[in-house]
Amino acid sequence: MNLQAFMAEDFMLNESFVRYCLQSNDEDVAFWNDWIARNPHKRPETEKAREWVLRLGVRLNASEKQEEFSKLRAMIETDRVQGKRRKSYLPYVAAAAMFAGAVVGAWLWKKQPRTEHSAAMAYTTYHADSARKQVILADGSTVILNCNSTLKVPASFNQQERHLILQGEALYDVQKDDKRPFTVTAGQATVQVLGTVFKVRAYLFENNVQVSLLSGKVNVAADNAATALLPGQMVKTSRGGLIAGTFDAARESDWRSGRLLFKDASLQEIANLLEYWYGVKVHVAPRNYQAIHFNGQFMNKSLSEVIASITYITNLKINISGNELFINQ
Amino acid sequence: MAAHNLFPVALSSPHKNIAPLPVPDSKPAAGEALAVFWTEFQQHNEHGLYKIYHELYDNLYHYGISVVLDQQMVKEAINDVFVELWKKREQLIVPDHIPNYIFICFKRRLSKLLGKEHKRSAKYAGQLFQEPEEQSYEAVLIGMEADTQLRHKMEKVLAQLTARQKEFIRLRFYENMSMEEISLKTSASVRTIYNTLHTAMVQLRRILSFFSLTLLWYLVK
Repeated sequence: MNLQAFMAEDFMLNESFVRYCLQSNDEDVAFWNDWIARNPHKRPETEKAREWVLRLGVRLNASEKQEEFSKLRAMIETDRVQGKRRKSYLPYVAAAAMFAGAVVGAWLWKKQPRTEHSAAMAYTTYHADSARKQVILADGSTVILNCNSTLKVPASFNQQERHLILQGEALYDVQKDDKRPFTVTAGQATVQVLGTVFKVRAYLFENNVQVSLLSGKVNVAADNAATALLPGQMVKTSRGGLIAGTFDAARESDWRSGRLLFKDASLQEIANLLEYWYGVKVHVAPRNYQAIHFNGQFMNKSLSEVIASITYITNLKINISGNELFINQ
Repeated sequence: MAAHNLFPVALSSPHKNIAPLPVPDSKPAAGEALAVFWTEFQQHNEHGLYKIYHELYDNLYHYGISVVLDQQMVKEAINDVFVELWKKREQLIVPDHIPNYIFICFKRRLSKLLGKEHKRSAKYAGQLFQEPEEQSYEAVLIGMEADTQLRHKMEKVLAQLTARQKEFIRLRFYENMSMEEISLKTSASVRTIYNTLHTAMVQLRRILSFFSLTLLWYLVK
């Protein structure tokens, strides 16, 4: 196939080129953008072909679509602002105080925690999807909620006790208060805290719960086992019991400061680190990969930004689908 | 037209006019992904809604255009539907088939907008609003050209093409079927389809360069 000899009609009949026009496949889009950039003399033909593909397919082009999307986004943003004003008149009681305490980070302008009104169990739910979130609780304790994680705070938090429910991963820095015990439930494990910094990891795609203690003291209980942790120790649940382990303190302190560091990382190390850092399940397609040595440092960057850099440098193909990530070459 | 692509499931529409809304076939897990996005936006995360929007935009646009031949109205109606979904997010349940659900909302919205138009035009005065009729692919291609001259040219070039050429063009570019899929459907060989389309594209291209020339001529003048 000699692309140099291609005329508009030949491009139109090339299925990869059509996918580029429709932007339905990232690989094709990347390939043709690159090819056209390197062969500017073919641009009149490719442009003609693209115009016809869109015309015969009765489709909008990318910039028209983008314009429509911007309009939609503007309308939804407006609705958000109005909705927020309306909601602030609702009698929030305890949740309101907590909410006020939590309105700190800029992210709260975008994401509003949700209070479920049911008689016995009223929760404020915090959800971090693509970026991590900091939540400041009514007692002054802080929680860093990792990506793809949900934290439920009962409306009764800080009354007689301090209890939280976690799905995903979060780091807790707990204010000492002997009268009101601080507990976190995650999957099969419950952690009881006594003024402390610790981390709980309980993603649904991993079938265990991990608790790491950075400082202070915690008691961890699973279905049929319980143990106390000392700083630097980690336990994970296994079939209702607990297994002791260790964690990488340097990596943990990097995580806290928001520094994601790749040092001469291989493909597997990249996959592991992304899975650890962003709480996504990473799948690596089995294939013979060229050896990869990736170096890079990211400060508080979103998953998509990090992926953009990695793919640019390594030529790997990485696709995100929901909470899963697929690596190809 | 295009009844072959009707959803075999769930829709159970009493209207003959419900058009096919093909879920992009390149993504087998599209249904599940959509359900995830749906839950996201119900939990006040607008990005879930945006993902559904991007996923379904082309399909909605297609159907809209084939019913009203008015780009502006179709674009407006699509955005209206999504704003409405966002506003009602707390009352909504997760529909069994998300594309179909959104599609029906869209159809209603179009009917409403069309109704308004019809009230304004005297031609339809006193006439009850009717179900929108879907236009043929050819009528859509011609009707989409805003400029009268171009519309005539388009009409002309389509008249020059054979029925078979037009059918292949529709399947390949409008329905977005691959050559293999068209081959399976029409039992023509891939080679034949390729050659037939190629001849048709050359014919189109001649007309297109003619378009550009007339345009130039206008500019120079």
